[in-house]
Amino acid sequence: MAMFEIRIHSRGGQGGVTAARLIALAAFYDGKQATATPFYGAERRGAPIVAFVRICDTAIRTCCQVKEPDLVVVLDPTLLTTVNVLKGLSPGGTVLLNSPHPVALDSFRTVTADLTGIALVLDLVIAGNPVLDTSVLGALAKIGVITLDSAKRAIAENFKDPRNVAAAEKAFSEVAA
Amino acid sequence: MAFRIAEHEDVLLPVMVNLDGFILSHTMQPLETTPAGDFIPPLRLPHAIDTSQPAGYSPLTGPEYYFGFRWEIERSMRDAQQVIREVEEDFAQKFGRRYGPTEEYRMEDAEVAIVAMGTLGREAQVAVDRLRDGGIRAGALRLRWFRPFPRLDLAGREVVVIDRDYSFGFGGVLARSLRATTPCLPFSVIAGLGGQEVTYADIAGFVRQRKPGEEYWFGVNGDV
Repeated sequence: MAMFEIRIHSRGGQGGVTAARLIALAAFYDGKQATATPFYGAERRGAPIVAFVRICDTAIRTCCQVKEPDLVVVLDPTLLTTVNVLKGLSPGGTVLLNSPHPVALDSFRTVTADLTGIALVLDLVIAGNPVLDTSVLGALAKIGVITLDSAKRAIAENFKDPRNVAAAEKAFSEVAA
Repeated sequence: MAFRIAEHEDVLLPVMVNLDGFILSHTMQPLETTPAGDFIPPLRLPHAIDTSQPAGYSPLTGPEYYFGFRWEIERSMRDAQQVIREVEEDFAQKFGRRYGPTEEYRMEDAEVAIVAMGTLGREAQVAVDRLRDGGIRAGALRLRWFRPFPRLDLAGREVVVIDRDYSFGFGGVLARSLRATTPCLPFSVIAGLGGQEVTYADIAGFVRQRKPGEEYWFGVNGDV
């Protein structure tokens, strides 16, 4: 497999960086090489955040930012109007968008998942924020980036609350990909 | 290996292990770990405090001894070259991983060598692949130890050195160290300070636009 590169857009506190680490861990459990890199700028609650994941069959030597992702994950749909989330997205690339309703973004394949809705249904809310960084792995498993088994293992190893795994399973079953 | 080298009776100097802060420290990646086993022997320092043999210790000394201590440090640094090689060989025997003063990548037939340290050295390896795809016979040398400075054989090659550092009023520390120890006229690139993003594409660009003997601050003093 050629290098598969993911860029995650979120807001500070939504778990974009944690999601990157969990995705990389799940890919590692799938037998792949993987790296997760956050981009550190002026990180604060609510500010736009970017994190990167690389997945490859062979050792990954580069540490730089992902400029031409194969997949873009957008955890907060309000970022669509403030950040160019499609920048550099490879032709034929995919966007995974947290949204309760379908959205078409240019000519890119856009997959929507109601991650906020899933968190609210499961009452998976921390400090008033719906938890998105675990359910997103279920959606990515559905797209085929990682396997659901590895996603669940990565989540269970990092979070005691079983609702996190349940959220990933729910996202997996709900997403049309 | 750092413990073995530092505690060796011919060295007895601190070993400093460096990594690129933020870039490597915040990147999550798979690592292969090995149980140390008996690779690191129990600590035995010849001058450790021993209450059965009381002695005076002082961090301060006068000129009559001080300069001699300086020489002792330099002698240990020189001896450390051999100690490092021995420890690395023992490490290779025990764990099957062999290193050396430099990690060489596609250097056999390289006409241009990219010399760098840390993550920039790894990034340079990706740049080498790209350059070779474009017909430029490049190779990469990543230094694994910096002091004592290893002797590098770069004869017959053009050299591009990338420094994520600068000695003000003098130059890039790696480029200057190289020029002082190896006959070469490197293109000295200063890049990546303060977390500046340096990609493999940038590094390939340094090589394509190299100017032997000149110094270039990436993104600061104009294009090459």
